[in-house]
Amino acid sequence: MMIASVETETINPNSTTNFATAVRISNLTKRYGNLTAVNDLSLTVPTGKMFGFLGPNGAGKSTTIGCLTGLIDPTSGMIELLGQEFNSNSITLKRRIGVMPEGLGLFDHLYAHEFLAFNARIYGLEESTIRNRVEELLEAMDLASATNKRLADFSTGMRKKVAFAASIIHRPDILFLDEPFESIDPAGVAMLKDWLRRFVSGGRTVFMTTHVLETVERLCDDVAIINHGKVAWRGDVSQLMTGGKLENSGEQFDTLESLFLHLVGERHGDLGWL
Amino acid sequence: MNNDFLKRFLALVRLRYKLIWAHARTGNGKIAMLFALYLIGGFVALFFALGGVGIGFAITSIEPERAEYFARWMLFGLFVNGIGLSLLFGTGPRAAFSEEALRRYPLDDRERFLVRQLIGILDPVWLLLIACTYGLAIGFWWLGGGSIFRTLLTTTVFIVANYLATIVLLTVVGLVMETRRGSGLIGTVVLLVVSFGPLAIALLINSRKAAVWNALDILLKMTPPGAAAGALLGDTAANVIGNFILLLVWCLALLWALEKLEARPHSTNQTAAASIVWEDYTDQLSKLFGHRYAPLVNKSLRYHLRCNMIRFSLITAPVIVLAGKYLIPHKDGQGYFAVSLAMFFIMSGATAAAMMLNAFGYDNAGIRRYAFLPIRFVDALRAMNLSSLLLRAFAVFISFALWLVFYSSQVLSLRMLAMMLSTALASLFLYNALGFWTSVFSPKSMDFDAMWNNRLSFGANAVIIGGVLIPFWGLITAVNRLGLTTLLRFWWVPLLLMMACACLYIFSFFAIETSLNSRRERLINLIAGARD
Repeated sequence: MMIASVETETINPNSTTNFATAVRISNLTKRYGNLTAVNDLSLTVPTGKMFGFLGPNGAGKSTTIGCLTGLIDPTSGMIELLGQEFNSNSITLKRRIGVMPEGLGLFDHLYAHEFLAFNARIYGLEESTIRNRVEELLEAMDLASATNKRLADFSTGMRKKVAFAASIIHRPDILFLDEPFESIDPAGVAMLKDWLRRFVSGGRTVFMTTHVLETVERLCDDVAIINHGKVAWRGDVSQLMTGGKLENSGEQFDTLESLFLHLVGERHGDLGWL
Repeated sequence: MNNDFLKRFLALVRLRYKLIWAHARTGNGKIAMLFALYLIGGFVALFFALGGVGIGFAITSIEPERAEYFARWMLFGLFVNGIGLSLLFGTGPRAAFSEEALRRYPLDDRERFLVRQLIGILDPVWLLLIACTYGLAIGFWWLGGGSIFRTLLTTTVFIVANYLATIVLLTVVGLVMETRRGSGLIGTVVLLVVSFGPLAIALLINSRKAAVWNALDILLKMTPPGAAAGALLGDTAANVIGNFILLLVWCLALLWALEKLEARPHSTNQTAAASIVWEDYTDQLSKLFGHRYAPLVNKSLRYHLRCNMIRFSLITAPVIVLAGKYLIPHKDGQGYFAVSLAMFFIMSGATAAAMMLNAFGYDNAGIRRYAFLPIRFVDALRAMNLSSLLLRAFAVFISFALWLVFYSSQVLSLRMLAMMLSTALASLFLYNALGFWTSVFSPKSMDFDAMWNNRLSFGANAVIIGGVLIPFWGLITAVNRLGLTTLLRFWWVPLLLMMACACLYIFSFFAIETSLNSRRERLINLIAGARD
């Protein structure tokens, strides 16, 4: 009963955004000294999509998400969220996005309910709403029995669940998730996937990075693969579920993995001694 | 001990020193190393100028019949130093690899135990202590005669006993700290020792209670330093052998205690689920700061009040002020007032300073959240500073009330009270103002659970050390030079100082935003990057 209540409360299908484009990135560049982490990246993500943002380690995924959420100031380029220009001082826009960042960004010495309530208060939710949502989220995430334990003592999977709960507690229009499924048990992953599908079906947008390509094939309908800070491929992967193929420069691929390896280059280090 | 084990052990020693060196190469590490070298240099210079070989020479040549007595107390001093260095500064056994860290290497239980202890004893600061102990012992041998073999053997066993006593004590402290009320208990014990220990010793010295001293000396003879002194300088063979056996018994007993303590299962922090409390005193207090700051102040108050170091600091503040009455020599009302002024300035500044001076340091990866939450980044810093100001002000007013009670027998005028309160508030505002700047320009990732170790950044250390030394000597010198009557004529100076500090605080509160915004990304990387 409670879990159902969370789903209807948190993912409200009536609260769709009025913009056709959820995220628009134009010529985004981020440099750290001589290192160019993101190189003139341009990308548009329509509203109501489950968008997968893929790439090998060090490709610039987290930097891009950092720029999109206000964590990192771009060196140049422009970002628009929900039709409005976004930068690290866009407080009004930040109220409309939910973020699960790299490293989760938890305050370790708070209890889970204190942490969730803190986030909800910052987003300006009413006190009675905060209490209801926190209790329901803890119940749904199977964390209600851990109310006497600080976040520092949580397992990695539990911490991830708390970070996810904090990112959705205010019913954002866009959800930015950095590796959302890593370290979560299979039942938890199935639950999150279900919630994300419902979230998107309500007209909201999910922008996520993950290394689990099978998950992307089953969950995402729109994917971009970046390499060396640039978009290397962009397309719809939902056709794979119906036996279709992915295409890149005339070549066809049966799986997202084969396309990914083709684009980023397969690595075959020869460990003869192994 | 086979050859393979020796190779693995040496590899781990190399790794430990590489880690020390890697830390020393970081910005804060270089500064910490500079401080450490300065302290160690001073310590070595002092020891070798006055002590070590010299002391051994002096004692044995001037008062040979009392050599054992002096050696006992000197070795006791070194023994306490060894424990103190490890307990307060985290050197020696505490800094070595943990059992968990060593489990990844191909070592069995006994080898891991041995490696941990050997690496602990090979810590740079402990090596210095070992050198000092050998220096002292060789001094005794050089002019006191006896066998060099006996001297070196006894000293080695004494060092082992010192190390074992230290690690047993650290383990006991660790076990107590794991319990719910452990930090409070340890804090109270340390507080009593620090506050009233010197007082008790001072009273003993003043009253020349020879009987008490004799009793202490007899007691000391039964301890490792007493046994070592007897084995080094005993006048008969029976005395030497008896003391050496006593020293060995101590080592074995401590080793047995250590093995028993380590065999205890660790507590797992697993506690039963509790019902959520939605409205407590931190919620009530934070509401005072308005809608904009309330959630951030709430979070910060919880952090402050859960940090053992901050809690200890808040609890001890009033007692430290009162301890000034007993611990610092002063003859008359003038002296009392000077010391009180200085103590209040220091106490109101240094209390719970750690979190305020490295405000983001305890957030670790949490600092990222301030960047994407719909708040101005600077509000997080301001909220942390405000909550620190609130708690510290509370400690100051409690201390002030206690001070009034304790000093009621002294001549106290309204001007004196105004000066006292103004000085305390000036310090409060000054330190909190500086806290804004050190948090932004000298940030450091902090260990929330560390109780005793000084892990503050260079800037924070400079503020604390400078803030203790300057007012202490400045105020006492001013009172002594000018005299109390002259000083009281200028009673309005502290009032002006307080207003100036309040203005500095307000200025810093607003001006810090520009600096923070320009360093925001760097700050996040520095604080969050180290832990993820």
